Amino acid sequence: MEEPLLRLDGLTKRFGGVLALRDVSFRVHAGEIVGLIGPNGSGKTTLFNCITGFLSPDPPSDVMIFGRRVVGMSPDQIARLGMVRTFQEVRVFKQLSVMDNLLMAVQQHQEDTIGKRFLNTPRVQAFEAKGKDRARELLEMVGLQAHATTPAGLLSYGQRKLLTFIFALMPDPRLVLLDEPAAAVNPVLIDTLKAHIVQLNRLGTTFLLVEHNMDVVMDICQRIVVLDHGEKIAEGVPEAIQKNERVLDAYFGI
Amino acid sequence: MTWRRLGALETLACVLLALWPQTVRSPYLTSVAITTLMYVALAFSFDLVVGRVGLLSFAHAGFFGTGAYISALAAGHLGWTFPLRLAAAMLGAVVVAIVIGIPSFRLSYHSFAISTLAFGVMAQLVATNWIAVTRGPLCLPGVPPVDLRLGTWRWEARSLPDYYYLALGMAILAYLLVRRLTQTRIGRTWVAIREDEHLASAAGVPILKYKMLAFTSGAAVAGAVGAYYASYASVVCPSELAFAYTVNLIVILFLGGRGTLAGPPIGAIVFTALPEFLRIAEAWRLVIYGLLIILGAIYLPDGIVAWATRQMRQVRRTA
Repeated sequence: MEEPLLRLDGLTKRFGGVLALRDVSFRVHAGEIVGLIGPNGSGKTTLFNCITGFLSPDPPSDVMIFGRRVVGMSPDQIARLGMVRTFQEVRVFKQLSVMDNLLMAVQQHQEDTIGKRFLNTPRVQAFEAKGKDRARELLEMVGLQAHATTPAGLLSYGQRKLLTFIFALMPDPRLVLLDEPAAAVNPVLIDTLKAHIVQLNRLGTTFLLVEHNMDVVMDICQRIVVLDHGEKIAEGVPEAIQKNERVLDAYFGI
Repeated sequence: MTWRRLGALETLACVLLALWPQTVRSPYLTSVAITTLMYVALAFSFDLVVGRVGLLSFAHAGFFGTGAYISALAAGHLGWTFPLRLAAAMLGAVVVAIVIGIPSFRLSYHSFAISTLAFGVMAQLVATNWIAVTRGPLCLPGVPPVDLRLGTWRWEARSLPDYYYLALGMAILAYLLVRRLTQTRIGRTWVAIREDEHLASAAGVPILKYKMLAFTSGAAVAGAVGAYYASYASVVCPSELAFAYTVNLIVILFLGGRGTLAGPPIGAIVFTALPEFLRIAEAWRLVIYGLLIILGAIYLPDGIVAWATRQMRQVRRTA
């Protein structure tokens, strides 16, 4: 069987006396869109941070990305493997232009060194030109092409949200982790984002997304993992999750 | 268009500066200009950490002092010529920067400032108390002048204008280095780190490596200025590492404008030249100067350059 892109085994994270994640295991295979849901405080973002190196999980947790063990690696090392994440709060480099934001998103995935950057060699210039082409393509895709030179801090909230989305797509990653891509976004934009995710997935990008908006999750995810109080309480196709007793219990209580 | 205009401005500035000693013909004004140029070079290099990476450091005078002491010791004990002393001073400052940078950069903004402050204080204490090596408050006198040797050809800086031109060359080199660093991908990466470190590392930026690059390049320049100063003053004292020098540099950067290319020279000129012009009112000199700095901090919080840019934009809009 093909090696999954992401493999979590017994993921555990403790903050002092609080058990934020307990023995969470699941897989994400190439070509999937997997949803990660759960009530507030169930550990979704903590799980994201543990996968991406922003937090180090407690032993004996094991995280494998593209067949490589990443526990103990730094966030930038993990990102350079080809797995990119977004953040729940909208983060952009405010003083850099939209174009420079996008070029920042890709430059570390291109093979060059600090020395070559200092000399600005033809190779670096070629990378830069390639990055610009890719950025223009993505800006056009989300309709931000008129804002390439605008400082990212001057964009509206919705525009920034779109920027963070294409920021993640810039290096053409194999696996994208989206943390609440539809939060605080208007319904029209949500539909656009959904369409983009599905479209990109058809072209070969794999997604793992944390989302509160059930319509989004049920519509586009092929498989759903449910967390509650740091534990995985269910995993399955959307139809099964919607009928699952434990899930309904966790969300609505009795 | 803007680039060509900037190039013209740079050339004009260089020509004016090249003519300075001939024009003023005053040793006093030439030495004021030398001090200013040293501050320009130091401020450019200091800005790599303070303005570009966005961390407040108090270590810069320590790097300057490290360079000055290494150069003086290498001349006194080993009889090294200036190019060798210069290389040793730069290398020494870089090594010190690596040793204090690696642990300090793991700290938050304020802890980083305190940690570098501790280094600055310790450096001065070592220079004062390690009598066997530094002679403490007796200073290290008799540092030979800047000299260059190539086979039988020999040149030595003897006059004040000689030192002026060396300082000018140093300031220009520091400017070119900083311009190069900041206008390539490296500079963009520093701005990204300053803006949002988490996002930068999620984009794959090795944060510590880039911070260290800024810190060590800054230290190398400061060490070079230190080596120059040792020869210019011909004596190195522990007071050269005083906290006050770092504060001067901070005032220069905040007054001129952090993270800009025009900020360091403008700040350095205002900071060093202004007190001299104020000598007209000798008794009130420092009072007026202090007042001006307070007013600057209130009305120009992001520095003269940012203020001037805003004014220019406004003029263009109304025109």
